[in-house]
Amino acid sequence: MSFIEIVLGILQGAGVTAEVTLLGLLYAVPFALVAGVLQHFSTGTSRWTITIVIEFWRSTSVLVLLYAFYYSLPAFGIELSAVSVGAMVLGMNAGAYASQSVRAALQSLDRGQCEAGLALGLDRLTVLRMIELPQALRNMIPTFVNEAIQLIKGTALVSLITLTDMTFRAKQIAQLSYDPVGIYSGLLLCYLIICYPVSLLGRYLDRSAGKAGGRINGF
Amino acid sequence: MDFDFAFALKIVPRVLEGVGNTILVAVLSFFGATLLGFFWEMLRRSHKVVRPVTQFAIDAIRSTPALVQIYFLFFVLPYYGIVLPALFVGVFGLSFYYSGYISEVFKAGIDAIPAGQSEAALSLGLGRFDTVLFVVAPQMLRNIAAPLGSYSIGILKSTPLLAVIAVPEMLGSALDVASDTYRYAEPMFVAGVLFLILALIAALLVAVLERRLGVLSTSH
Amino acid sequence: MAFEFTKSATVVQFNEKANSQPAVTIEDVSKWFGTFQALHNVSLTVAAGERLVICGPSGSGKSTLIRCINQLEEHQEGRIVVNGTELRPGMKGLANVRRDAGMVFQQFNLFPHLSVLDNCTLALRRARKIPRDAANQIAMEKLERVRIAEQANKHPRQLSGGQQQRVAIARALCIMPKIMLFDEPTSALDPEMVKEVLDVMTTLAKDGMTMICVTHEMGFAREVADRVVFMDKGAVIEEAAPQKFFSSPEHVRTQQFLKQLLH
Ligand SMILES: Nc1ncnc2c1ncn2[C@@H]1O[C@H](COP(=O)(O)OP(=O)(O)O)[C@@H](O)[C@H]1O
Ligand SMILES: [Mg+2]
Repeated sequence: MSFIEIVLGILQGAGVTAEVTLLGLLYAVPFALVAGVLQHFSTGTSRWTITIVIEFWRSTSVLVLLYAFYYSLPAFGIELSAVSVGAMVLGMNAGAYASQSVRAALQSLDRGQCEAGLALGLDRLTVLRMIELPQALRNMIPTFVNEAIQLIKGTALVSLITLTDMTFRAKQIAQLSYDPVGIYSGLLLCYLIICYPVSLLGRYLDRSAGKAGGRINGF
Repeated sequence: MDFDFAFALKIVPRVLEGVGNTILVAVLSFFGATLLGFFWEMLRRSHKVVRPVTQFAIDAIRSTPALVQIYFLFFVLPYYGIVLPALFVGVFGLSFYYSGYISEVFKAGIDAIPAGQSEAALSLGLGRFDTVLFVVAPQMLRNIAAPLGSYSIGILKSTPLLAVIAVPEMLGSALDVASDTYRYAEPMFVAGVLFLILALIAALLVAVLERRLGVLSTSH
Repeated sequence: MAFEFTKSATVVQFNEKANSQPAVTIEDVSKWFGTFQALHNVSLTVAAGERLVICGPSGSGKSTLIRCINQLEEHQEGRIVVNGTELRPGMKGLANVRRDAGMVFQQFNLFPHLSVLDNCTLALRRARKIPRDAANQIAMEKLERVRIAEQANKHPRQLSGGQQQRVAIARALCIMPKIMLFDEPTSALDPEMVKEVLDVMTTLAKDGMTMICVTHEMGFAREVADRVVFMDKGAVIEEAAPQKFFSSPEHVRTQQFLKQLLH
């Protein structure tokens, strides 16, 4: 097989990679926003609850969680497809990390902004929606972009729970022909083509926001 | 198939057999990643021509999945006749993947030191080496301590990846139990809980260490 | 008595030597940042024991000039000679030459991870290889001189701006410089702290230290300076004794600048 054929073969899995990524984003973005806002505003028991939920999704190893959900949930009577499990675990994990940037961005806002909004007679929710979140968004976006990269790269793990993504295709090809250099370089190249532009975007946004976006987890 | 709690409890010791390797791999990878990350950052700062190349390498490392990097090493090295124990390959893979991130930690830690600091040292007649050793490095250490701590936990959470190349760490032991008993639900559940506990303990340790370090560096 | 005699004899000898050569000679120095020319053919001589004040609008190249004297910036054209040694970009032994000039920065630049005392002794111990006890003794002497010895064991961030700047002066004095360079030492200070720093600088001047001082403190310039230099757009426009400089400046730009300063 030529290198081109290998890459084309791998790219047949790009659809599944994209599907898991997009579904993952559907979990990640709303979870990040809701959890971050709740953690910022709540107090007492509700704050504890939301913190535990966030920490659960941040603290476990993604691969282990993927296996645990894929293999153990059916035993508790919960049947989820591999795509659902992949999107949920990867998405919630990325979302939990991103929620911390939502909270930090809200916390770093000048109190005067909220007070000025309230003084104009707006209710608290409107102040949040129209004044605080739009300003906080600027500071959150670099982290969101970096988390999106983590999510895309994380999708490689779903090849281990039977989904036919790019990594799975590469392993299939590896069984047909012994060419590890070509196949795994091709696979690295495919991810690089997808993620590198996003990495550059993240770097640019990090710089323009004047801070480095560190990430704790990795796949 | 129902979930068998008694069975789950019974296999805990067998799954725990891998915990030593998990910790070993995490610690080795952390040191490897830190050394390699520091090396990347020095390379990036070394020369006008080297910088963009290093920058691309770092971004490339961060733009590809750790799993794929590990596969690459595991399958490609033997192709060139380099046969290493899986544990080494795994440690090298994790070190490599995280070095991309840790180089950024060093970068931020150094960039955060105002230029005036080394200028003041030079104006006092300190040499370049002394300036780095006594003025830049101590301040950098304080800046990188917290993010390095976070990445150490990140590395610990990534060690299960090595199960795919048959390193006998904790997820590996759980998968062994599963293939021996033909039951996946309990071993995977047990692995999930044990990794959660391990990560929480590690987070606690890192927090304690950080506080110690914080106290040290302010009362110096 | 014999001892007394020898001692004063060396002092005389030293002074003669010091007077025979200028502390700093700057000849036709030009400096570019990329394509932007920050210094245009600047020439300036500072005699040993002389006090020079440099002023001029922001961006006129005052910092650049004073940093060239310490080679924190490299000049591309012209000659800079400090105590008989010509400074060249990338020269060997630069650290030794730098030790002849103590530098005080606008932003203090104290080392935050070191105590006040350690800030002062670092260069003594590492560059001069003086043992810790002796270094501490020297440092305490200098800290007393800037009247802050009681804070020796604190960390910089525990001090006020004025105190920090006085520590920075003591730190620079510790390397026993022959010249002191000040780059707007009071510009970052709250008004009520300016005086304590200027007082220290005035004492230093009275003790005979050679000083090159970028500052807009006109009272200080009047009292202390032997000469005032006005810079604009990277060039020296005017130099005169303070009396003349403030009462009848020759150049229009100098007049405008002084007028703005008084408002
Ligand atoms: N590192 C630098 N890179 C580029 N331009 C610089 C740099 N440092 C100073 N400049 C420029 O050189 C000019 C003189 O700066 P400076 O000496 O700091 O002025 P001053 O101290 O009189 O305010 C300014 O226009 C400034 O923007
Ligand atoms: Mg200046």
